[in-house]
Amino acid sequence: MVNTSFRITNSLKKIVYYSIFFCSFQVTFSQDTGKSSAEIRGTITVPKNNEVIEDLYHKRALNRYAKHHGGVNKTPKPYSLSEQCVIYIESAPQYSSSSERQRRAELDQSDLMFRPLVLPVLVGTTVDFPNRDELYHNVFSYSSVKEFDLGRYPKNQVKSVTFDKAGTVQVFCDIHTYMFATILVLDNPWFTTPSEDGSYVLSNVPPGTYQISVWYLRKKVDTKTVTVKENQALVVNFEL
Amino acid sequence: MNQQLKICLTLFILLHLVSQFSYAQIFVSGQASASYLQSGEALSRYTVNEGRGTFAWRLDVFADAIISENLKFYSNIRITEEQRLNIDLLKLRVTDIAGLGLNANIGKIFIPFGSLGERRYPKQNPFFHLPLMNEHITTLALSDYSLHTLDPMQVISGNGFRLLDYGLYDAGISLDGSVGKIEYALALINGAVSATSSYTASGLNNNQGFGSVAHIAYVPSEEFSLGGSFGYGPFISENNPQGEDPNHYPQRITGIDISYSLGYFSFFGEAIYNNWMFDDEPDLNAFAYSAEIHYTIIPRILCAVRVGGIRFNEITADVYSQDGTYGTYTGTWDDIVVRYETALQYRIEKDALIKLVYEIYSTYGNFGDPSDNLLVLQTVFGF
Ligand SMILES: [Cu+2]
Repeated sequence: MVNTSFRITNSLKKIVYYSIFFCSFQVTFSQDTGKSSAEIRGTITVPKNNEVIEDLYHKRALNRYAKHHGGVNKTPKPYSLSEQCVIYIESAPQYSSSSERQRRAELDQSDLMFRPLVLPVLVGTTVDFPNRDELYHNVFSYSSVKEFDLGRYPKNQVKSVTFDKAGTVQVFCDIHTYMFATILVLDNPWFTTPSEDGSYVLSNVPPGTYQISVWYLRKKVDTKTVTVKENQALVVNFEL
Repeated sequence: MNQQLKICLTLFILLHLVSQFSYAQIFVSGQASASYLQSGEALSRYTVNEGRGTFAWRLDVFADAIISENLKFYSNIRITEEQRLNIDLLKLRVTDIAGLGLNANIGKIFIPFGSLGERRYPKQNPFFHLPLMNEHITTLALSDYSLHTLDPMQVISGNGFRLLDYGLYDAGISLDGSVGKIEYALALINGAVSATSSYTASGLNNNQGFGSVAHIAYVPSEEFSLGGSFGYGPFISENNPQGEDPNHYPQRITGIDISYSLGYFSFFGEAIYNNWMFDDEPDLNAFAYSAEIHYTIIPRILCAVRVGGIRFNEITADVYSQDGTYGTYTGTWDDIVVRYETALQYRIEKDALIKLVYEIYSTYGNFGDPSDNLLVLQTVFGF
């Protein structure tokens, strides 16, 4: 489902967005997952890697047809670790969503970049694509999970896509071909992004054996098989 | 071949020099396309290989570098199935001079005429050809500036001026920038916009003196742009067979362009009035127009239509017939032509597409309307 809506104000948007986001995940963890109480936590150590941001900087600075030059010469604001890294459980067959509440997330277009670089969402989530730049963007994806083309739209306009199938969605802009992001559509709510120090926690995980994966920058970089028991706090560290 | 070797060597040395700057890193990208063409069989400048089904290819390689924050290097090499190697672009670009938002380009630059922009490349152009005004070869001979209105073979052989030269590149300097909602670009180039260096057999400009070109656009919003272009410069060579002063033979060309783009829809319109001025003879005029619409029907599939045409003024001239007699010819100096194009494009991937294009040519002139419509199947791959 693709639909268009205009935001009234930025601040109102934030209020609406955060409240929905907050509610949906509280509900997800406390109700959908029932009585599970195990936890997986750990630390992710990543090498310093400016590859994506440098690539973005070069390509947008060299864009020979850039109509507007504002911002193009500036070094892009680097992604935080939480914007470029996701830890998630590959598949949790025991999870079933009982919540009919609509989940929402946001993939921002600002400063000729998508933010975050990787966005994890639960299957069924509607992702908003607000344009915050003074110029047009044309977000599209030809991924088998979800194919869409939002057309060209100006600043402060938002278009949305609902992701109803799990998988990896690569998102591009048709005008700025260097713009790139990944949406990980996951079939269970046990995913998170690390703090800036690399620490992460997956709470309320039902006991079981799982494949736990790390997505970093543009690809999945590590997968570990773990077994977590009732009331256990399992530590799983990743060194990339 | 010698010429190509020289070009390659020059480019290699230049790239090497650029890479010597401490911050410079060369980014190579490009587009490759392969086409199958099937045209009518008639004797016409628009038929391809006399109507025999033909494969064609084209390769564009872009090598660009950031030398410093405000200094960049750009280059394009284009090679086609004729094994011809063209350096379309080879320029240094200085951005934001003295913090004024003014940019300068020097070298082989884009000529700032009209609004062709990225549509010059196969991946961004849903059609096979560029607008007719960039490609139509007129009956005004490049070799000796004579008219071959009644001699179609001269035109078919490619010996004729274009109104705007193909992709519009030339050696020179240009300045561009914007003030509020006005975007401007001014250039000083070699000679006229109808005969730039890209397409002469020697690989050098065949015209002399400086030509000036300007484009000013009013851009009130991101989706709309209204532009005006002007070009003036000598179109004949200093070594012309008649020994004439090139400055007495200027091309004067004016144009307007409109573009509008929103959602899944884009429109590009352009009209030009061209005047080749002769010292002691009436001018040769041409009026050309082009309008195209692109529409993305569903993700991956885009359809496009374009109509373009050129009209020419009437002249009266002495003609020499093959039977050895002289006579007088009165009529347009080239055949009036209208081209209709339809295109359907399928994006296989982000950087790979396939398109089917059909072009219908309607010619009104001395040789009727020959059967020269063209069907093209083209695949394009960007890297
Ligand atoms: Cu964009």
